[in-house]
Amino acid sequence: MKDKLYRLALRLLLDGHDAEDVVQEVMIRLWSRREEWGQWQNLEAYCMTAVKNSCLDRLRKRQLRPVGEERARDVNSHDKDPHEKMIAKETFMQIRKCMDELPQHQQLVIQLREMEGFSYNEIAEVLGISLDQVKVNLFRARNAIKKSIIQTESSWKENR
Amino acid sequence: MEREQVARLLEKYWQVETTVEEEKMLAEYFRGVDVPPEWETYRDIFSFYEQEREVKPGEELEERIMERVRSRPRLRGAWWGAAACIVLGLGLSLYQGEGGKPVAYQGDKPRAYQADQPIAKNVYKDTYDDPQQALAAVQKALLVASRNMNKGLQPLK
Repeated sequence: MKDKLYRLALRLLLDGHDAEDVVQEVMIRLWSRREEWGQWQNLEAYCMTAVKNSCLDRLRKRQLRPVGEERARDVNSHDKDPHEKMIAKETFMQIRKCMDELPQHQQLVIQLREMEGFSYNEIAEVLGISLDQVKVNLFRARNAIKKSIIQTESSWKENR
Repeated sequence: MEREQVARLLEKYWQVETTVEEEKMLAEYFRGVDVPPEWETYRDIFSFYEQEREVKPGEELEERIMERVRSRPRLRGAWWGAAACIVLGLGLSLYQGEGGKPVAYQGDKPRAYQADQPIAKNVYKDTYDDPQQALAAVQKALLVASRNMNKGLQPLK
């Protein structure tokens, strides 16, 4: 579960260290309330919600203090082995860029659905939005990514 | 999976009508080698998600969390122990204080202790008549206490 929490935090914070901090914080809080676990319907969705909220808090704080330049994506070096990094295609960079530029809800819906395989109901619970909103966001995000990739790939072909 | 079936699933996928299971089937299909060129783009997207699923926090994160989780209850136990000692100590000293007090304040006025007057019944009664004997008993009690304390502290050294 901690991997899923970490990936969600990373998607929002774009910073590996901050993402780890948030996961640690949430897991320790979870442990201190272990007597209540039985009452919770879905422990994973509960934790994902906690991570999301904690990340949004951090983002708000970040906005308060002036940051000169945009934070570069700082993922820990152990995330990928060097070989994998080498073959990471340009297309992947393009998809990531496109995802980073999506509205926040669309990013989160993509993260929870495509990476973590959450059901629509679970996504609605974590994000606190309706089922219809989940589907609308997912529809827009999927099609935005598709459009962006088709466009860049066709422009590469033209340039060749 | 048949090509037509993949085409049908893809159509549903873009319309946000696929189930989680169907999306897993699509992911599985695009992991394969025989993907037609017109679906290259889709394969890129699916393999991007695949790669993102491999992103994990550092190994030390789990250790760090476990360390924090394990150390907490022990620390809390120590604090409770210290608190209990203070309460017990306070209680004992108050109890002894109560017992020792009434001697000088019998009746309305404080009165001085007079050797030739009979002592009131509820007044503090000595266990020993001979001061030498009393001193020896106290010394013995303190010695036992200190020996036990040293024994208790031994493992901590």
